Parts: sequence; structure tokens; C-alpha cells
Amino acid sequence: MEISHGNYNRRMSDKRVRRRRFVKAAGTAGIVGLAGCSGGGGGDGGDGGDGGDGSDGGDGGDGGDMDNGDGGDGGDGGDSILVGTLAPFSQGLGWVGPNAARGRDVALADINDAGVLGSEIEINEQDTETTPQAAVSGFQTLNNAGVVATLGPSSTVIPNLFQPVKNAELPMISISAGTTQLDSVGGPDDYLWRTVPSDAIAGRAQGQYALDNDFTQMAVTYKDDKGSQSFSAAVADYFTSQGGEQVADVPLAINSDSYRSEIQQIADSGADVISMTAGTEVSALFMRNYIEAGLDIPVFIGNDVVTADFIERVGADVMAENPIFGQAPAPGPAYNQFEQAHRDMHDQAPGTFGAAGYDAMNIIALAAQRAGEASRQAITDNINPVARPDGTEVSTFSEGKAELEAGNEINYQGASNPQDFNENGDPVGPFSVLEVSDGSWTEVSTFSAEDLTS
Amino acid sequence: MALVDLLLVVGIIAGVYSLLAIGMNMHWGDTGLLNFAHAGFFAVGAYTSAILTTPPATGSLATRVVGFDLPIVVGLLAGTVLAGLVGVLIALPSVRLEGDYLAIVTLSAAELIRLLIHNEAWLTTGAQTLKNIPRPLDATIPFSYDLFYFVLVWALVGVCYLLFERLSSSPFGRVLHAIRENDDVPLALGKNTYVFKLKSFGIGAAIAGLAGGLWAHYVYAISSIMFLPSITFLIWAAVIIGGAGSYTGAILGASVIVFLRQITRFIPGDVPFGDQLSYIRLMVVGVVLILVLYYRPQGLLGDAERLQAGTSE
Repeated sequence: MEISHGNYNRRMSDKRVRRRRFVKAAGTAGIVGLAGCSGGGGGDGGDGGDGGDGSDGGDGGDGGDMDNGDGGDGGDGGDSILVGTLAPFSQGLGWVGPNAARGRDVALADINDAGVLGSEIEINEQDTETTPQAAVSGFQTLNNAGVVATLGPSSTVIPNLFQPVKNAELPMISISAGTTQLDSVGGPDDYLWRTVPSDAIAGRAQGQYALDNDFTQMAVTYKDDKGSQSFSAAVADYFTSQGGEQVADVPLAINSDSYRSEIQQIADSGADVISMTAGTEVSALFMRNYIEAGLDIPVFIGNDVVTADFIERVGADVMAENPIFGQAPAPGPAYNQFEQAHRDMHDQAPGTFGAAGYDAMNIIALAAQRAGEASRQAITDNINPVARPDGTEVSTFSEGKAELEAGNEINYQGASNPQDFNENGDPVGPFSVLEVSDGSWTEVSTFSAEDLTS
Repeated sequence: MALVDLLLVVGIIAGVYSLLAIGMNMHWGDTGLLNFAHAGFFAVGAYTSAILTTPPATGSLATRVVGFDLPIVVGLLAGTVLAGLVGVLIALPSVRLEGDYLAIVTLSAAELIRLLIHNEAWLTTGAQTLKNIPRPLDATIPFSYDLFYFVLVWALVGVCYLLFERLSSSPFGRVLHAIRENDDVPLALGKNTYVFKLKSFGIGAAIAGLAGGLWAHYVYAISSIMFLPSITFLIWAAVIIGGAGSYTGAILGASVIVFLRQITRFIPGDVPFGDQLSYIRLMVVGVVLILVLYYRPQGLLGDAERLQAGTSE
């Protein structure tokens, strides 16, 4: 160590003498390069503002302020309308963004075929990196680019955006935030909606089904993260408010090798029903441990694992033999048609939140179409009207456009659910309880929207 | 105007990261301590200030029962002081360790802090987001709030910069430099290097705590997922790009990284591999780090002599 260190020192000083001039030059070059870099940044910023289309130059200059957007975009054909997508594309929830974007693109193909107000919609996609830091700057980037509306991010970062969205008066439709922290926020005054139901509604479906089957002692177990906690709390709150009793509350550590002790704890609690919410990885391991424990306690699993993939992981036979129930929003009226279009376009079945992305894109385009102009305020004011129940039912943009042009009101029926928004911008729709039979999820019971909101 | 708004937001983020980098530069640049707990100090500052200024929420998932309604300036000060204390506490048993051993201990300490925040829901709202954090002087600023906050953050960066530059060239700073070069020398001169290291650790951690408080009061809501070790690594990259030992370099490095990440947001989605853009953006930062290290091992504004610190035994 001593020796090599000495060598290193000597080598360094030799080099320093020989290369002093070079280092100086390199330093200057570095600083100049850097200045060039940040200068370039400013320039790039301007480009972003242009919305990627020469014809939008005016808009970029206006800085995407809604008032100017109003005047500039209204009625003129040919310009593209810029819509944002702010979603997690990397880190923790990095799988959500790509799924939703694929769904969105299915809607976009139909929208751009038909044309919104004689224009096409162009997308500006920004990553939240599943962290608030990146979400805040991503949102400002969209705001700066002058998007007229945006698809919105997950529960992790959405509380950081309540106020910025309102300040920017930029309508946002989240495609994946189920958190109950969003229950009391949203609607036109907050410029915020979501196309996925609140955990509170989904939790009710699970709690009610348990009560209907005369279970009274519930053990709640969940992956120890934000989303799973939120869902479990919603189930337990409803279950106990309706006379049930919660006998255990068992968090599941994220990187555990087994959940045998947690399952034992649940068995010892005297529970007659288990509610488990834990995402695919943790749920699969929990299920294997649960099955090998041979407990005869029915278990409800979260809607994030009501997938074909999960059956494959755990095994179709054991899932059918054991009392395992899932619940999920009953597929929306347009789901089958969406699924087919998704397969045609992407050669794969829609992933989780794909249908939510599809619905959000359609609703934004329909709102602009109904308003007759693609401005932030006009879209905000027209999101509820295109989804309200007393119009002609439509399930794609082109159908909706035809009805609107014929002077009729429309009721958009989505692929993920019917998309009838309540006053807080949350969709209320039917929920199904499912179990596995013959290797696929089969509906055993359905709760209507009225059952779940009464 | 909107571009100015965006630049202000990015500037605020750069300012907060600059404060973190200043603290890190005290540890590594001046004292040669391999601190990997910076995200932890950042979290302590953010949560302390948020809890002291945000009353407990009500309704579903409102697990937090502790919360006060104190003035924000109290929160910021308390966050700064507590982060400093936590820094000293972590340093007490570990600062005698050499180089990479210290790195291991501090990295795990930061994770310990994060998991504590994640699990102690009565205090921190746990895995849920602690939201409705107030903004200082919100609604009383007659002009753009972001402009006000930008000025506030960068004024604090300026104050900290002057303070730390002064510290670094003071007798105290010279002892730190001597510790960095070879801690037997100051020991032979009768300096208690252990206490000096503790002080360095505490002061650097306190500034990270201040950064945490400032960040919490800007973004309305914080959650434990914001304080993953990746923040620490990013600040390390900032200090190395800027040049270890130079406070101007620390600020420059942090700003370069924040702006690089922002600039890459303007790459349109229809370039080749456009659908992989989110990953490419992170790679750009890595490539810049490699380029800087290759062509300027001492960092953009670093001192070549500083390179030798930490290599001595």
C-alpha cells in the first residue's frame, strides 16, 4: 500500500508538471462546454414550448397560458393539439406508465383518424420516476410545453400535484391513483379526475361480499407500501362500520422469504375471513404459503392480482380448490372492443391500467370536441358533461364525435368502467367478485354502483 | 412566461440539491469522510419540519397522531438542528472507521432512518404521504410564488456557501483538511481528530436537514419513498462532477445534474429508442459523470491535489 501510494504520488506530480497547460485548457474547455450546455438547455426549452410543431410557434411564445391557448387553438384546423402524459415510466411503479401509454395509443389511433376539431392530438410524455421530485419538474415541463390536458400519475406522487394542477388550471386525469387520499379532492374545481375507482369503493365490494356470506371476523394483511395499505384500510373501515370485527392487522414485509409466521398469526387470531392486498410478487408467495398451510379460511385478494398471470404463477388447480376470491371493477361496457383493438395494435393483451389510459385519452378528446375548442378551461368544463349518464351511450371517440356533431349529448362508456364521475372526479361503477374456475377468473357476484355508494 | 416558471421550479430543485452537495462537500471534500447517509439527514429535516408545522390529518389513513401548528421558521430550524444531532449520533460510534467501512455503516444508518419513517405511522404517516404541508408566506406573496421561493432557496445557498467557504479556510477547516490528508498529523499536533470529525459530520448533516425542510415546504407532501439512497448517490455524483473540496464546484455539480435531467425531458418521443427515454435520461447523467472523471479526474472546479486525499493510509 505504502509503495504503490508513493508511485501514485510521483506519477501524479510528473503528470501535473507535464500536463499543466493541458489541464488549464481542458478546464477552460469544460467551462465553455458547460456554458454551451446550459445555453442549449434554454434553447431546448423553447423547442419544448413549440409542442414539436412549427405551426404551434405562437403557442410556445404564449407560454401555454390558457387564455392564449383559447384564442390560438379555437377552430383553426391543421394544428396539432398537445396532450401530456405524466406517469411513472421508471423506478418503483415503472411498469404502470408503459401499460397506460399502450392503452392511450389505442384511443389515439381512433382519435387521430377521426380528427378532433380538424386537428390531430400529439403527445408529450414525461416520467415521474415514481418520485415527487421528478413528478413536480415533469409536470412543469408539460405546463411549459403548453399541453391542454394531461393523463396523470400514480398515488405515490399525486398529493404533490394537487396544488400545482390547480394553479396551472391544467386538467389532469390520473390513470392509476386508487388512493383514498384523493377521495375528497377532484372535479372541475380542482382540475383533477381519475379513471380508476377509489380504493374506498373497491374496499366496499370486498367488505360487503364478506358480510353477505356471514363472515364476521376479518384478518387484514397487506404489503407494507402505500397502495396496499390504502386498500386494506378501506376494506377494514367498511367491514367494521357494517358490524364486522377486525381481529388482526398483519403487514407483510416486502422482501421476505416466507410468510408462514404471518399466516400463523392470522390463523391464531380466530379470523374467519382474510383480506390480502399485496401486489403480484408478495401475493404469489403468500398464496403458496397459505395453500401449504391448509387453512380453511377464505381469502380475498386485491384487484391487482386478478390476472391470468397470477393464476399461472400460483397454479390453476390449487386456486380453484381453495376458497380464494378476487374482486375487480366489472369490465367497462367497451372492454372487449378495447381489448381486441389493443391486440391488433400491440400484439398483446392490455396490461393493468391500459384500459384506464384508453378511457382518459378518449374523455379528454371528447371534452375538447364537445367544447368546440382545445383549451384547458374548455376541456375542464366538458369532462363531466361527456361522461354523464343522460346522453347517448358511446364507447369510442369517433362514435362520440358523430353524435356531438349531430347535436346530441353523449355518455362515454369506458373500457375500464362506465366512467360516470362523482362530484370529486372519481368514477363510480359496478364491482365483481370473482373466483378461479377452469383456469380463469369467473364472476360469482356483482355489486352495482348504487350498492357501493349508498 | 411559462418557460420562466419551469426554470424557476428547476432552479429551486437545483438550489435544494446544492445545499445537500454543500453538506456532502464538508464531509468528503474537506474531511475525507465517506458519508452515505445524506438521504437520511435530508429525510430527518423534511419530516421534522413537516410534523412541527402540519397538524394531524383526519379521515381515512390518517394514522399520524403527532403534529403541531408551529411557525414554519421554527420547523426549519428544528429540522436543521435535529438532522445535525442525528448526524453526530450516527458519527459517534462509526466515525473512527476508515473509508469504506464508514460508508457501509452510514448507508445502513440512512436506510434505518427511512424504514423508521416508513414504520412509525403514528409520527410520520408511515408509507402514506404526509400531505398539506404549509408553504411559507403562501397567499401573501403578491408576485409569482416560485420566484419568491427561488430567491429564498438561493439566498440560503449563498449564505451557506459563504459560511462554509469561511469555515473551510479557518483554522477549523485546516484541521479538517489535515485529517483528510493524513489524520496522524493533526493528532501529533494535539488535535482531537475524533471531535473534529464529529463536528464536521454534524454540520454537514445539519445543512442537509435544512435542505429537507425547504424541500418539504415547497412540494406540499412528502413520503418515505422520496428518501431512497439514490438521492445520496446523486449528491455524490454532484460533488464529484463539481470537484471535491470546492464549494463552488458542489453547487455547480448539483446544478449541472438537475439541469441535465431536465434538459433530457425535452427529447421528443419519436427519436430512436424514444419509448425507452426514461432509462436513457438516467444514463445521460452516468455518461457525463464518466466523461468528467476521464477528462478531469479532479472534477470541474476541483483541485488536483485534492485527488490524493483518502488514498493515503
